[in-house]
Amino acid sequence: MNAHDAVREKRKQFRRLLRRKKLTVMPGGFSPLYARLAQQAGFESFFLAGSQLSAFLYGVPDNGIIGLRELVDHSRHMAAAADIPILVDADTGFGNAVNVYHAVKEVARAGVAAMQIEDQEAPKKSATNAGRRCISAEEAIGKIQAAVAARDEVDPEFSICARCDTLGAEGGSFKEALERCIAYVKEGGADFIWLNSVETREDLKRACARIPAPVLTIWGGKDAPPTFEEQEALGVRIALIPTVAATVGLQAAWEVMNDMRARGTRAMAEWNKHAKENPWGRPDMDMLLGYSKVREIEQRYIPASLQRDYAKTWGHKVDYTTVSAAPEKRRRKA
Amino acid sequence: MPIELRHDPGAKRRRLRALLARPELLVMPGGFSPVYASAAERAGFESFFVAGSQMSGFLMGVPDTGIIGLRDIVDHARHVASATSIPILLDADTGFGNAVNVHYAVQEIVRSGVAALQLEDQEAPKKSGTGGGRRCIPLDEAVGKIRAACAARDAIDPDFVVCARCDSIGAEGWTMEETVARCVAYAKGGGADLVWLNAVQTRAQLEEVCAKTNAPVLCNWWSEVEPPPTFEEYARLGVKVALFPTFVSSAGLQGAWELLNDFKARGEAAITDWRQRSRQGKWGAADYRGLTGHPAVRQLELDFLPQSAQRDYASNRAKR
Repeated sequence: MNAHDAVREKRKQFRRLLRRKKLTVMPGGFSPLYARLAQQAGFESFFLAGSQLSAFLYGVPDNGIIGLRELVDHSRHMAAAADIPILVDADTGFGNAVNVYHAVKEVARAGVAAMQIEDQEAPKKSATNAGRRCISAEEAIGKIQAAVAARDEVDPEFSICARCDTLGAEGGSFKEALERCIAYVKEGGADFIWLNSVETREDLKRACARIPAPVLTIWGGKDAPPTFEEQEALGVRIALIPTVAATVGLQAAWEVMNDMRARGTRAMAEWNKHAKENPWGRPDMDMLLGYSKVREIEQRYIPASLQRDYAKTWGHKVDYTTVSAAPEKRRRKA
Repeated sequence: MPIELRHDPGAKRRRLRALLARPELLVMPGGFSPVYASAAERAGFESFFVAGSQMSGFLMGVPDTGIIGLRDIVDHARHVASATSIPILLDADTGFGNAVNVHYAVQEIVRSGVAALQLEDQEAPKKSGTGGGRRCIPLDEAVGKIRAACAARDAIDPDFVVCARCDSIGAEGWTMEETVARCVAYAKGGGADLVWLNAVQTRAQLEEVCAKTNAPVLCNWWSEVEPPPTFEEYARLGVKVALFPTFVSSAGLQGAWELLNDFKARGEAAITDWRQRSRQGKWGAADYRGLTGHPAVRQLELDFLPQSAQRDYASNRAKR
């Protein structure tokens, strides 16, 4: 399959996930590697979070600091690395309806399956933070319409997600949020709706029943979030865990660095043992990065005189093996 | 008001020189992200390494075979440097060509704000330093590249640190005599501030290079022949920098791998358990908001937005 067909196939696959009644659990983060990890662990789609792109590539907060170019660049690498469809967080679309129109075309050309535009005022705030302010429903609907028009010009299979950030924002109420979501579908033409920060199960059920499109939600209530079974029963179509791969990676790095500060090489030896012995072992780095493809390209296209000698040169396994048992004889430094 | 250390590349470069001049071993973790570098700083590490393999993997999803270029690494290096107050060592692979390319690459990298860069003596396109198939350029060409790097550096910031990496152990036609000769020449003829002896197999090799090289020696141990030395042993063998070049991002990847599988198998219970483990762990949950500078946003708004444009934080909700 050529690259263009592969992209379209992933977009069609994403639309199939949206149509079916069964809940789709979508993990997220950033990085082509995490997207492939998710694929290998059996997930059917992956989310690129603007917050994680801001944090892990630039080290900046999720406040609309990164722009279209950063997003498109990273999206292209993720889409190329993963066989599962990718949903991309395009924040506010980087301006008004005119900016959205151009942003959608750029993002669609990057090869991802879908993108989300939120109804916050630019510059945006993190969706899980206070200080959010939404643009008027009228302006937001216009932005979704611009997104859909741009999408139709480049690939009708590409999905547009309208995100409603009204719950928890200035002056936001559930009634208003619900009205917005319905309008984003009916007037805007959004393929699916992301309703952020829902606080009760009753609200969630009502929203899923009234919104005439598949609903993705992130829980914002004080009670424990509904289980996946509950969410499916309430009518939710996508349960998004938007930063999970990146957050867990950060936590693991934090713990292992502190442990290494405290206990030196012993900490690394134990980490290594754990990586080997846990039920899922280590991720398959060749599958993730394609080193065997490099060998294949060399053999096929590089003249014999320039072939590298893999038999006599050697590499290493990523393995800190055991804690030092120093060899018996150690020469003193001259 | 004096500028913050993280915005003062000169101070960080002088700090790295002081770390290389002191008697104690410098333990340097590595990875790629500004967030991982900030976390390393908070955990008490004094420097951080940005690995080309990890930029290739986590930013572009490609193998470490010279696919990424100067622009990619300079762009990323600038963000890592501006997020941290500790000096950053940047992996510049082969310098993206010959001595001429090295000249331009070094000046671009100096302007990115990192404290040091590393150039390796492999033939371009490069191979992973821990993979097979490596081939080195001739010693005299490699020395010329280091000299070009130092001259380019001297023209714009003499405090910037140049590290020469010797990849000859395990490469085509390898002998230990040649490796030693290269390390000695990179310091003496090339003028490198730091020499990286790659792919060390034995304590004896390490000790010989440390004794003969007229510059501090950095070591990343990948031996399958001997178990790795402890930090105390490294210091005794004469090593100045013990580098763990991909440790932080490898740990992050492994953590994500395990939780994704657990999550797939057990659903949200896996996330709840993980969250509890993180909070109750010895070092607590990583401070994501602090590491990414979220608190500064409120201050910027208060300082510079007109009253009418201030956001209402009191009456609207935050999840955390």
